[in-house]
Amino acid sequence: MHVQPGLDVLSPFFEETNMPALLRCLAAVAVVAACVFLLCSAPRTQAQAAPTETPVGATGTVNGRVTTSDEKGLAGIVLSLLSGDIGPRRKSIARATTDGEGRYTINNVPAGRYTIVPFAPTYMFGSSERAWQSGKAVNIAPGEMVNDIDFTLTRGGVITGRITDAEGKPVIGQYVQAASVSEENGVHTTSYARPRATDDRGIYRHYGLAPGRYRISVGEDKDNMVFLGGAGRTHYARTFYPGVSEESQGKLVEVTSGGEATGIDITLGTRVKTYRVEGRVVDAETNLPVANARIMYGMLVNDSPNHVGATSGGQMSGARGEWKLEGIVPGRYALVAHLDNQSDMYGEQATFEVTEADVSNVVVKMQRGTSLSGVAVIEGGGDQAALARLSRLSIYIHPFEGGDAPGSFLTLTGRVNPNRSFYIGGIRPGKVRLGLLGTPETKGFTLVRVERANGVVPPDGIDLSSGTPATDVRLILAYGNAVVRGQVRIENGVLPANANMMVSGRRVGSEPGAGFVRASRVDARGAFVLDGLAAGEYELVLNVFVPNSGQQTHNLRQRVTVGSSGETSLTFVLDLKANAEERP
Amino acid sequence: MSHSRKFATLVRLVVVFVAASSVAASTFVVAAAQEQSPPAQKDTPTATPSATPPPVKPQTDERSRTTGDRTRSVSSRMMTGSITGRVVTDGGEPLSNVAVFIGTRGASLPAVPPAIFTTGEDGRFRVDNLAPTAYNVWTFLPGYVAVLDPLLESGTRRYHYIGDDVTITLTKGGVITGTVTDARGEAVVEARVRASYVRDPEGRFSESRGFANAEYETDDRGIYRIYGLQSGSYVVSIGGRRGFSPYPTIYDEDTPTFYPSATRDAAVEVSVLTGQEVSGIDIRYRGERGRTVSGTLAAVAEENGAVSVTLTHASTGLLEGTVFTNGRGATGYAFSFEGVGDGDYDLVARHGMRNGEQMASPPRRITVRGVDVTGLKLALAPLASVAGRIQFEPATATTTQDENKGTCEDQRGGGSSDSPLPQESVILFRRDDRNLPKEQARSRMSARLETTPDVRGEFHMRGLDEGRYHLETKLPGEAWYVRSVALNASAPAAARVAAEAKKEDKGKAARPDTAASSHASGVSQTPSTSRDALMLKTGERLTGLNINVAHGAAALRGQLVADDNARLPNPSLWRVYLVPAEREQADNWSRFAEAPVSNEQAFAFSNLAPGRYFLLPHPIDQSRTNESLRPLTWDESERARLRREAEAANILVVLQPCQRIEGFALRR
Repeated sequence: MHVQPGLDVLSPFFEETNMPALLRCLAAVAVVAACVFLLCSAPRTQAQAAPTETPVGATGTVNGRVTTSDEKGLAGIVLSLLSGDIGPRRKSIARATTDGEGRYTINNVPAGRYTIVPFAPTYMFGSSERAWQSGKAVNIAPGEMVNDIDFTLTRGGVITGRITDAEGKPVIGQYVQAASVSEENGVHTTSYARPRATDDRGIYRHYGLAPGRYRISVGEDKDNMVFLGGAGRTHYARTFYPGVSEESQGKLVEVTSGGEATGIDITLGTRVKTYRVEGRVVDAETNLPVANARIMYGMLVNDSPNHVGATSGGQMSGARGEWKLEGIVPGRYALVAHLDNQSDMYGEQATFEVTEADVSNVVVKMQRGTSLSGVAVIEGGGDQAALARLSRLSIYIHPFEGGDAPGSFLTLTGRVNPNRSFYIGGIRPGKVRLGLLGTPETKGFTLVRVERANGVVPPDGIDLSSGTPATDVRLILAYGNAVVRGQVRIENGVLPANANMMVSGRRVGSEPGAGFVRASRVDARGAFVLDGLAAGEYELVLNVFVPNSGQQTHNLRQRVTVGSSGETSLTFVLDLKANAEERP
Repeated sequence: MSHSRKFATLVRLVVVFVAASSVAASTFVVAAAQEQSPPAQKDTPTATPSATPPPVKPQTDERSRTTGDRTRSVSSRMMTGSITGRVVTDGGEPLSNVAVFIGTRGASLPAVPPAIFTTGEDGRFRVDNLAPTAYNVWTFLPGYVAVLDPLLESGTRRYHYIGDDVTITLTKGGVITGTVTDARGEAVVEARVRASYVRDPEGRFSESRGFANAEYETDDRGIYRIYGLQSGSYVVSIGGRRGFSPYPTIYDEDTPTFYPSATRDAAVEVSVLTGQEVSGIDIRYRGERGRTVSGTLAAVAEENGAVSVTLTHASTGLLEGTVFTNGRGATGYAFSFEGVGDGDYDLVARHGMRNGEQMASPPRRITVRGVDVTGLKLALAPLASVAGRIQFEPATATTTQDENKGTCEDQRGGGSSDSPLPQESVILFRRDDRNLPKEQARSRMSARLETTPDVRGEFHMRGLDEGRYHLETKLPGEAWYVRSVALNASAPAAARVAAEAKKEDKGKAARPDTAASSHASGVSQTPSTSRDALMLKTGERLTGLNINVAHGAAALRGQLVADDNARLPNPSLWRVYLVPAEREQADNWSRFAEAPVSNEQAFAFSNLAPGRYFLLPHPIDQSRTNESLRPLTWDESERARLRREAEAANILVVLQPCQRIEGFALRR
C-alpha cells in the first residue's frame, strides 16, 4: 500500500503547523527520500502503533469499484481501509478484495476518518505517483453508507537492466534510482520511484512506473545522498544511464503503460574511496570525555552549515568519549552528539570535511544546557476526563526559526507528569517554541497559549538566551469533543484528478503559534471532519493543491463557532471560476 | 529557500525518531547475534553500525578460516597491538572494499558494537590499538559468505588475538529463487520472501535457526531471488511482518505461508550450497489472516529502557518475530505481534540495562487457536549471573624426553608463553534444554553466551536464564589446558549446587530434568563428583566459579580414514572422540573431547591435558536431526557408552606435556 513511513514521524507536524508549506514540502521528494532512508535504518516499533479511533455510534459501509482506464473491472485487488486520513500513523482496519467486476464493499466501519488504499503495486492510481496519491480519503459519519469510492488504475511500466563494474562483474546490492522527469507549465519536476536494489547478478527491475521519461542512475553524489554513509556498502560515483557522470548527458528512458524497457544497463566507474572519521565527545566546561552520547551526522546541503541532508549514525561514544565513523564518502558534514532526554547537556554541532584522507580528532562539545519547566493547565479547569488525559500528553520544543541554526537538528520532547508539571532539560540557549506532540492522546486538546509569570510568551518563543532556566512556564490548553462535519462544493468546473484538498483550522484569538487543530483531508465526496475541538470560534482554511504544479491553487477561509461537544455543519463553496482569480 | 528550511525542520524531527529507535536497533543486532554481546575491555575502537542494516546473515558467517603466520607485535602485557589480515575469494583473489567487523564477546560491560574496517585494494586490513582480548573477525560483502572452517563445530567461532594475521575466504553465497502466486494463479507482487536457516549442511538442526533470515521482495511477476546464503537448509516463507523493512505491506497481517504452500509445521525445507542456485521454489500463497498476540510489560527497571519481546514457534524453534519498545510511545510498555498463525509459541521479554545487568520475563508458552491472544502481561525479573575467576598456574619446564615433544612455544595471543593474559580467554556458557519437558517454554536468548575475563582473570557472566549450563573455556594458543573447574565451597550458592549434584548422582529417574550429563573441553570438577553442569535458578547470582588452567597442553591432529584407506563417504557425518584411558580419570568428564571431521577427513584436538586416551570415531546419530547438535559428552550415560566402545576399539594414544601429534591416521 505504498505508505511512506516518513509520515509516521512527520504527522505531528500536520496537526500543529500550517498545512500549505507542509504539502509543498512533502511534494519535494528529496525530503521524502531522506525520510525513507532514515526509516530504513530504524526498525519499526510495532508496540507503538497508534490505537484506532474510538468507534462512535452506528457503523457504516463503503463500496466502490476498481477499474482500468478502459472501464474494465479489476478482480482480486485488495483494498485496505486505514484509520486516519493523513500520514500513516494509520493502521489497517479492514480489507476487501474486488470481485470479478472489480467491485468491493467494506462493512461495519465505525464513524471516523479513513483512507482507502488499493494494493496494486504494478498499477498506478490515476496518473500520479504511487507513493503519495495511492489512497482516497473517506470521512464517514455514524451509520453512513458511502458509495462509489472508485479507483481507476493504469498499468505501470517496467525498466530493467544490469549493473556491472569496470571489470564487467555484477554490482550486487546497489540501489538503482528511477527519477521521472517532467515539465509542466514551465515547472520541472523530478520525482523518484522507490529505489530497487540489484541482485547477485547485478540485475534490477523497476515496475509500476507511471508512463513518462525516466533518468536512471546508480551511486551517490552530493545531490543524491539517499544511500550515503555506512560501512559495508561499496560506494560508487553517481553514474547515469547509459554510463555518464553528467546528469545532463544522461539518456532518458521512455516508459509506457504496461511496457517494459529492457537492457537499461549501466557500467559503473571506479568506486568512491571512503574514509574513516574519528573524534571524541567532551564536556565543554571540564574537557572530560562524555560517554554514551549518540552520534548523528549528515552531509551539508549546498555547503551551508545550516542545511543537513540525510542523517545517519546512531552509535554511542565510548568510555573515553571516542567515536568513529567508517566508510565516509568525501564531502562536508555536520555532526552532533546527543544524550538522552534526561540529560541536561546538549551537543554543539561540529563540522568536518572529508577530502582524500581519514579525519581524526573531531571534537564534539557537550554544553550544559538550560531548562524549561512549568505546568500544563486546562482553560476553565477542565473536567475529570480531560485532567486524566493531561498526563499522557507529550510536548516538544524546537528552536524558533532556528531549524537552520548550526547544531540544532534535534528536537527535544518531554511528557506531562501526573501532577501536570513538565520539565525539559539540556536546551541550547536561544529562543525556543513549545508545542504539543501529535500523538493520539493529543486529540481533544488545543494549545491556546504559553504564559510565563510576566505574561503571554511572544510569537518568537521563550527567550532562553541568557541560559537562565525558565521555571514558570504555563501551557494553557483547551479541551473539548466538538466536531465540525463539513462539505466542499465545487462549482463552475472540476479539479484535476490528482488534486488534494485539506481543511485546517485555528482557534480564533489564539496567540501566534498556538490554537491549531488537527487538519482533515477532504474526501472524494468533498466531506471533511474536524474533531476533538474545544469550545470556541475557529477559522477554517480550505487549501487545494495539485501535485507537481508546485502551487497551492485555492485558499478559502470561513469561521465557525462550536460548543464543547456536539456536531456543527459547514459548507465551503469552491467556485473555480471566481476563486481562480484570487490566486496569488 | 523556505522549502529547505522546512526540510531541515522535518529532518530534525526524523532524527528524534531515529535516536529513539536506534536503541532498539542496536538491541536487534544483539538479538540477531544471539546475544553474544559486548567486550570486556575499554580500548576497543568504537564502531559504526551500518545505517541500513544489511539482511541478516546466517550466524555461521562469522566463522572464518585462519591461516598464515602470527607475528608478535606485542612485548609488554599492557601494550596494545594489531590484528591484520586479508579477504580473498576462494580462488585466492584479494577482495577490496569489504567491510570487516572486529568484535569482542565479553558480557561484563554494556554492549559495544563491533568496529568496522574496510579492506584496501590489496584486500588487506589492519586494526591497531587493540587491547589484548579474544576477538571475532567477520565480514560483510553482499552476495558472498565466508568459507567455513571445516575443523570447527557448526555454530562455534574462531577467536583471534593481537598479533594475528587473519585470512578470510569468501565465496559466492547460494541462491534460492522461485515465483509466488495466489489462489487464482496471479503473481503475488512486492511481498517479502524470507529464507530462515534451519539446518547446517550435515542436516543438523542449527542452534541459530530462525535468526538467520535473508529477505527479498517479489517483483511484478511474483519472482523472488534470495542470494548470499550460507550452505544449509532453509524454510522459505512469505507474509507476516517479521523483518525490519520500513515499508508496510498488505501481507504483514497474514500468517506466513511456507514453501510450497504450507503452514509452519508442514514447511518443506530447501537445501542449498554456496555457489549453487536452487530454482523453481515456487510458492502458492495462502493469504490467511493471522491473529494478534499482544500485551504489556511490567517491572521494567529503567525509565525508557529498551525492551525486546521475542515470539518463538515452540515446536520448530523458529523465530516468529521480535518487537522493540522503549515505553516512550503512547501505549507505554506494550507489544503486539500481528499475523500470527495457529500454534504454540514461547514469549520472552528482555531488557538490557545500561549498567550491563539484564532482566527478562520468564519464558511463557502461549497457544493461538483461531482468536487473538491479547492482554498478556509479562513481568521482568533479574536474570541469573555467574561470577568467577580463571587462574593460570605458573608454567613449568617440560621434562619429557619424548622426541615428539612439542615446544609449547607456539603461543598465540598477547601474553608470552609463560604469562598468558587471562583476558584472552573466553568462557562459553551453553544451555542444555534437552531434558526440559516439551510443554515448558524456553528462551532463545541465552542458549549460548560468552564472556571474557578482565586482566585479573575475573569474569561475570550475566543475562543467564534459568536452566542447566555447560561451560567451555577457550584458551589462547595451544600451551594451556583447563585442569579443573570448581565452585568455591564457601560461596553459599555453591552448597545448593553441590547438593543438586549429589541428587543427580543418586539417580536421575527422580528428576528427569536434571539427568547427569557432561561435556568435554571445559568445566568443572572436583575429582570426587561427576557434576558437569551448572544449575541456575531465576535471578540467581552464583559466585566463586574457579577455572584452573595449567601449562603443557598437548594436541592431536589427524585424518579419519576408511579401513582400506579408501575415501570415507560423508566424513562430516562423523565425530572423533577422545576418551580418558587412565582408570582414575574414567569418570572425569572434562577429559572427554569431541571433534568434527572435515570433508577432507581431518580432525583436530588441542588444549588437552597430558595423559593416556582412547581415540574413537563415531558416526552422528542421524535419528536426532531435529535437535541442535549437542556434544554426546554432555551425558554421563553417553560417556559410559563411549568408554566401553573405546576400550573395545582400543586405539590408545599417550600425550606427553606439550606434545603435538600431527597426521595421526585413525581408521574407522
